[in-house]
Formats: sequence, C-alpha cells, structure tokens
Amino acid sequence: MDTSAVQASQQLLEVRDLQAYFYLHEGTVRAVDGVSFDVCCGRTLGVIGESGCGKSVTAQAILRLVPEPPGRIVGGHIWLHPPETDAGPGAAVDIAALDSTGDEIRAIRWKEIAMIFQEPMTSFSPIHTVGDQITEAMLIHLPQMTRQETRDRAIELLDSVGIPKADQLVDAYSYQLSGGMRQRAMIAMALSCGPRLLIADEPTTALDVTIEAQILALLKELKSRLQMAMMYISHDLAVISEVSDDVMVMYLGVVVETASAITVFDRPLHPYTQALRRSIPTLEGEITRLTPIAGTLPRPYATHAGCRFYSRCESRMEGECDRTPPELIEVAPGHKVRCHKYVSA
Amino acid sequence: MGSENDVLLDVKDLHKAFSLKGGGFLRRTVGYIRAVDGVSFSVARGETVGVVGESGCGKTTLGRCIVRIYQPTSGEIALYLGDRSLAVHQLRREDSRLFRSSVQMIFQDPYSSLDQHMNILSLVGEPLLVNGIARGKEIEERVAEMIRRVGLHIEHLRRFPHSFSGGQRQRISIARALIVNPKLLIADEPVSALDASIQAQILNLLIDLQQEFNLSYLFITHNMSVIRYVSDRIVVMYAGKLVEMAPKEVLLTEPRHPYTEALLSSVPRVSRRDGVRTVTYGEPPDLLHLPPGCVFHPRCRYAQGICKEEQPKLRPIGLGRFVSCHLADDLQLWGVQSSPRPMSLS
Repeated sequence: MDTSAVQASQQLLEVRDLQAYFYLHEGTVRAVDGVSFDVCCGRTLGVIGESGCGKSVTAQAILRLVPEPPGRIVGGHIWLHPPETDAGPGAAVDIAALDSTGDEIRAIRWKEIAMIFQEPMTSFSPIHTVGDQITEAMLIHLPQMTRQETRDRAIELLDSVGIPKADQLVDAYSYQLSGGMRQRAMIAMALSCGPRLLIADEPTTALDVTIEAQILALLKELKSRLQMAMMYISHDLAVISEVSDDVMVMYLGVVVETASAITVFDRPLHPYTQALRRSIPTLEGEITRLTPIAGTLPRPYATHAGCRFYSRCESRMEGECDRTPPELIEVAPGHKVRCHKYVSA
Repeated sequence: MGSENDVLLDVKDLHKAFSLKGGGFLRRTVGYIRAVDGVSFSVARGETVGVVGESGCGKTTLGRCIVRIYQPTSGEIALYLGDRSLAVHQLRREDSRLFRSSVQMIFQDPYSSLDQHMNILSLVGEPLLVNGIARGKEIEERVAEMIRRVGLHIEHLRRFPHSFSGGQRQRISIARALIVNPKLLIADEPVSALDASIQAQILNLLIDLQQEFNLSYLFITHNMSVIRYVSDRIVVMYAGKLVEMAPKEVLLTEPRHPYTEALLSSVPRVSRRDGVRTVTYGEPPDLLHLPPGCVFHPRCRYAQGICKEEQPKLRPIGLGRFVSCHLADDLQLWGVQSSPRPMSLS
C-alpha cells in the first residue's frame, strides 16, 4: 500500500463519546452530548451547524478551553495520537483526562494543536505588538530558539501569510491592522510552533467576501504546503464545501451526519442536512422558493426523550422518533447518519 | 423599466461625507470620509432593488440618508406619492408625518433594534400613535392583526423583546415598520444576524408581505445569494461609488464591471469544490485617502493607464444597465452559470 496514503489517513485526533455540559442557574446545557469523530493527518474536517449545535464547544473542549466552571467535560475521550517516528507509534494522550491548567495541556496547545477564531481582535492583546505575541508562543514552546531567531521567524511567518511589509508590521499593534490582515496575523500566530492540527472556528464569518476568498485560498495553500490537518467550523455550507475533505453535521449537541464532503453535499441523508440545503439561497441554479426549516431551536435546557430534531423534522415518525434516540449508524462506507429512517428493519 | 409614473424613489447624485476632526484645542477638520460619493438610481413601485457591496462601500449610509437618519451633503432624494412628490433631502416640517408613514426601515441586529422596556403591543403600536394614525382600542386591533400577519401570536403582545429569539424579533421589527402601511421599506442586512434556517423564514415573509402590500424594498446586504433571491434589480457599490446597476439575472451572469466579477468569483459555492476561483487581492481603500482615478483600479486585474487618472462616470450600457468603468465595452467578464445543478435527495 502506498505509504503516503497510509500516512494521509492516519488518525491524528480521535474523539469518542465526548460530553461537555454547562451547569447554569437556569438548568444544565448539554452542549456536546456524545460526539465521536476522527481528524486525520493532512485532511480537513468541516463541521457544520447552527447556533447551539455544540461545534464551538467541541473545539474548545479539544484544547481544554471550556470554562470550568460552569462547564465541564463529563465524559468521553479526546485521543491525540503522536506523530509516527522510526521507533513506531507512541502512546496516545487523552486530552479529556488532562488537568486543564497543567503542563501537559500547555505543551499541546499551540505546539500540537492551534486555534484561530472569528474575532481576531479578541485574540490579540491590544497592548502588545503582533510580533511580540507571535514570538511569545515560540519562546515558550521552542526554547532552543534565541530571541532574534524567533523575531526573524515571526517576520517570515507574517510574510508567508501574505502580510505586506512584514518586517515593519511585525511591530504593529492589532488595532492598526484591517480585519483581513488581523486574521492573517492570527493564522501566523497559530502556525508559529508548527502545529499538526489547526482548528478554525468561523475564521471568515466576520470578513468581507473578497477578503474571505483570500483567507480561504491562504488556508488551502498552507494546508497543502505544511501537510497540516484542519478542523474547520462554520455555519456556512458553501465555505465548508470548498475547504473540507470530510464533513460532520451537528445539531443540538450531537453529530447527525458525517461523510466525505462530496457525499454530504450531493447525497445528504439526514432530514436536517437536507432541510438545511433547501433553506439556503444559492448563487447558481434555479431560483426556487426557499423551504425554511419549520419551528425554532428548542430551549438549550430541554431534554429529549427521542431524536433531537423531532420537533422540526418533516420525515418524523411519531411513536418512534419521539421515544427512542437514534444511533449514529454507518449506512454506506464512510457515511454515517443518526436517523431512524435508515435503520433497516 | 415601466413608465415614469412607476417611479417611487429617485436618488440623484447623492453625496454624504463625514468630516473627521483632529484632536487639539481647535479640532480642525483633517479630512473627509466620502461615504456616499455621487450615487444615482431609482426604485419603482412594487420593486426590490438590492444594494450589495462590502464594508465601507456606503450602502448602509445610503439607506440612512434615504430614511433621514443622516442629512445628505448634497444631491436629491425624491419620493413620489400619488400626485405629490416629497423632496426628502430637504423635507418640510409639515411633510414629516407623510414621509414617516411612507418610508420605514428595519435593521440588522434584532437584539439592539427594539427597546427592551416596551412590550410588543407598545413597540408595534407606537408608530400608529406617534404618526396620529390611530388611537386607543384601534391600535390594539391593528397591532394584533399585524402580529398575526408576521407569524407571531396574540399571546406575544404583552411580552418583552428579551423573551423572543432573533428571528422572532426581526418579525416584530417588520411588524413595527409595516403597520403604518409604508410604500418603501429599507432593509439593512435584515437576515445577516440570523441562523441559516431562520433566514429563509424571514426572507419568505418579506417576499410575501411585498406581494400583499405592494411594497417596494431597498434591500441592503453583503450576501450575493440573498440578493439574488429577493431582488429584481441589483446595485453594486464600492468605496462610496455605484459601480454597476442592472436587472438581477444579467448582472449575475454577465457582469460588466470588474468589481462585480470579483465579488461573484469570491463567493464560496457548494458546486465549486475543485473549481478554480479567482482571488482578488488587496483591500477596499481607506475612504480618507481614495486612490486617484477609478477607486477600484489598485485591485483591478484589467486596469489600464486611464483608470489611474480619470474617474469613470456611470453610463448606460444596455437596457436598464449602467456601469462605471472605462473599459466596460471591451471586457469579457465571467459571471455565474445559470443552468441548474440538481441535487439528488433520496
């Protein structure tokens, strides 16, 4: 078997039955309630879902950034597999079991897994220069580098993400940069220690569409050049379809469908995925009346006896869907759906 | 399109500049932000004109000038109502009530555009009261009817905004805007802050209400797909200028301005997984320091010498089509394909 194909499909991150709850005064929000997925080396997993689906909390859980309290990882595993070395595979680390303030998770954050967010302004310190923030991460995680080396590397990184006059802007403050430039600087900061996995949480949602196109092209290029895995979270189906190799659709804390990007977009099976496709205006194709998804999201504190999508599902089967929660089942190679429709009798 | 009698709103050479004052004791003006820089277009009765553009293009400022949140720096805004025409840019006091019951606006953020201390009955009824259209019991009746019409319930009347979702609040804003029976509704990014599945509900509601009340819409958004869904004609703005205007389908399939082409090719699309997209580099200009000549020329792949020297003028280029580009006659630009790509649903 071709070794590059083996390496390409090698698991980097293995999430199993992850549960993250928020214990609030008004009730318990089961933000992530039994989520399992893999991220493989060099591949991009796109995560689609609307508000309250748990996609951001999943990402935060991976880096143990969920505020504790009121949040807590109450169950499941987040296995981070080490890179293959000549000595053979090393032991995987369960991030979910680590102390969220300890040294082990600190060694993972930024060095193994890095994250970029929607609002670059909130990720940057307003009182430190962009360069200082990039070098800070390197100084902590790559102690073998001298200060000057880290500064040179910061300039190189800024240049590699398309920031003009990087040797000058390295000493700029984040408020001096435009939205697109800030996002590029944040990407540079995320890449500074050479992570194997980049988690991108709605990185282009707040950007103009021409700038978004630039950032998406940049991410594509970086991914291929650095052979980096990516987990790209967005509510925008079109963006997800362009950047992802595999796609995971989330609704109210669970995965409802997962498959390759081509499959999810050409042959969606879950009623939610299908309804989502029909409810979104497109730039091409016939203009038909959009079919909105009926109803609204249930309250976050609600518990569900059966399927979470029951109240809004056009294909619901009373007596079954409202009583029994469906399991995530593989209905075709690589295509899993959580829906009673596809359970063979 | 249509006879002159059909025109409801006519905007002529509208300018809105904001002066930027420096610090120091005298706070002298250090520069001008030309937010809207010579925009002309019209809206016919029952028509939806979509205004699209990215940050800083002036589309929001344009909407606010029309609804009189801002006073234009120069130019004219004419509103034609039956046998009367109002000069919106210099509205006479005795005409303000007529104006406010003819032109209304809804906004992007459903969480900040409703007064949290007023219940729904008060919020939706206030325009009737303030404009002297109804009083007392009649207000409650009309509000109840409007609330139902936008998909909410009578039980909601005594509740306050905080107990409603984003989509429901937009419905409340729509009810409040339409209760005075306006002729023109300016919608500034009305669905951008809503989840995808709720956007469709609100868009469909707006389309249905337009039919029912024979409304005209000025629909402002950065989202090309939404604009395609709701508009009859599209106006494209960039850095304060109107760069192209045309009926929807021809603008999308055969754009004549390089910026329109750039916008269309930048939009992510489900059908273009492996396709090549043309990335447009650079960023919109600093409105305080606009480039000489055509404002788009620094980012334009087709820019020639004249583009750097002379500002192009908006000119007709076909039936109902206008473009502001020196090279429009010679360029072959790419639009979106119009043939449908069916999705298979089992």
